[in-house]
Amino acid sequence: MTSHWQPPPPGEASVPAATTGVPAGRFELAFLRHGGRTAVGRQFVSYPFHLTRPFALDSAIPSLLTVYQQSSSGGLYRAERLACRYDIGARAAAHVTTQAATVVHDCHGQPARQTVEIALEEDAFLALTPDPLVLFPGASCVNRLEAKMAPGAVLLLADAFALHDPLGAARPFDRLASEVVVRDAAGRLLLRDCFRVTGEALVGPSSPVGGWRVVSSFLLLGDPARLPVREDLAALAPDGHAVAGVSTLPNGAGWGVRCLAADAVAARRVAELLFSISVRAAFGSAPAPRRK
Amino acid sequence: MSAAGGLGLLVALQHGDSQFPSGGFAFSQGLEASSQLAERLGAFDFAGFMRAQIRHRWAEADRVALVRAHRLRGDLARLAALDREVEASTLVEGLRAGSRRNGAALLTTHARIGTPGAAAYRAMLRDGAAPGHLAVVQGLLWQALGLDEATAVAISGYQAAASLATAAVRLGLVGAIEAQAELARMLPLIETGSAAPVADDEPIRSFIPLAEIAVALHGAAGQRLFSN
Repeated sequence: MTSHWQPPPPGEASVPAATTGVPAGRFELAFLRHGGRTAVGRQFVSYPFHLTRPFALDSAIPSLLTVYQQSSSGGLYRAERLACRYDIGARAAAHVTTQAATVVHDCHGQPARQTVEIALEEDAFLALTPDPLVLFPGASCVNRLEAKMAPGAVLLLADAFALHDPLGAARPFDRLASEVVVRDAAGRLLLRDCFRVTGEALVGPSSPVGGWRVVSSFLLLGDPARLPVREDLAALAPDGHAVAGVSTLPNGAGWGVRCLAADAVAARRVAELLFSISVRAAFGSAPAPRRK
Repeated sequence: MSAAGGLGLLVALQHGDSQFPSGGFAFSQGLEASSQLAERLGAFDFAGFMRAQIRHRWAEADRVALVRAHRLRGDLARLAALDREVEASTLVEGLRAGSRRNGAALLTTHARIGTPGAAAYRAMLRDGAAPGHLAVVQGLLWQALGLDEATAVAISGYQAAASLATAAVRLGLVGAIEAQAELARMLPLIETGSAAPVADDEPIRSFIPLAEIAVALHGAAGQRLFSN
């Protein structure tokens, strides 16, 4: 088990509040369209984030640039603050993903906080598909994502978490809160997907996720002409290891997909299929597999 | 209850009564599909379903919208803005449509019996200026009737649980006596959920993925008793 913070033995002082000197990692990228291709323009990346070179993985879709967001810290820790920002210029196209799941360690009541800001200009495309958060016992995380979309733009957001106790003792995570806010170019609210839940609430017959282990949510947003049709989304989880529900989103924002999976493999299969369907709908060609 | 004394209690009883025509009988909030698709979704447990709905939907979403609406004291323009926020915060079409239909039905009844604000807000629904979600409409109407915030929340919580119990009986999942026993066990949970403070800009939160998937699958199903 990896643990960078050990709880004190019983009877000793509790973990002190980490209110000063807390690192604030930033991962900020601007994508610009140059001719038939997309390039990274302005960028700012600070610890714990790391950025390798971007990849043009899709020969049939030369405008689509792929970036792997990496972290050198081994997960999320108590009171950590991370901020990401993506500016996608007109007609630029980007896929931002991670190489692996992100472990959220025991936060001792001081949640890690992640914020993401996204601005899409006309006809831009962004697929933001990080691998799931893996919530260890005591993990606490507060996530907020805000996106603003110009006409013709497409945004695919994938968000997932899994429950995991390395000791196999089914100890719950502490809490998880999430807020996703999407507005149009005029600032009108299109969508607000917001929840907070404790790990204890996911135990037993009154769990809102039943006995499933991986919880995923996908939002396919933007120009209907560049989004999949319902028939494309009909068979996302055919094998019994996952269940998925597809719905139109409010204000004609696109499609929402809730998915529950028995394990990470089944969840990844659904996520990869949705990414492929979304790229095909937006560009007319399916993407190459993303190696992880 | 700010409606005076014993009269306030009587007003609350009238509007909490399942006989009051509100149209809510047509909706099961995913109960029907969850019970019928257990082979696919996982083992179904009525008490567990009801608890999840009260804790993770009613207390965090419907109650919050109701309280915020109640505090707007009949300001129809701000109620419409809140109503649009509820629309944007309800991701699954089956739940959005059910909430709008229930809100419209309740508003129609109140417009007919002359509750202040009902006819004007109903006109806004007709003009497309507001979607008419149930919790917002309840907040508008029950405040107009003089019911205080705590009483309005109690009626809302009770109705949320009672409508699930009624749906379960109609679906044959539990008997009438068992449904009442389960409803009684739900009351402390409603009381606990009612105690959480609500800021004037409190977000509408919801975490019921399994029920949302059930509602989405329900929408694609053929034979069914309830609209969601």
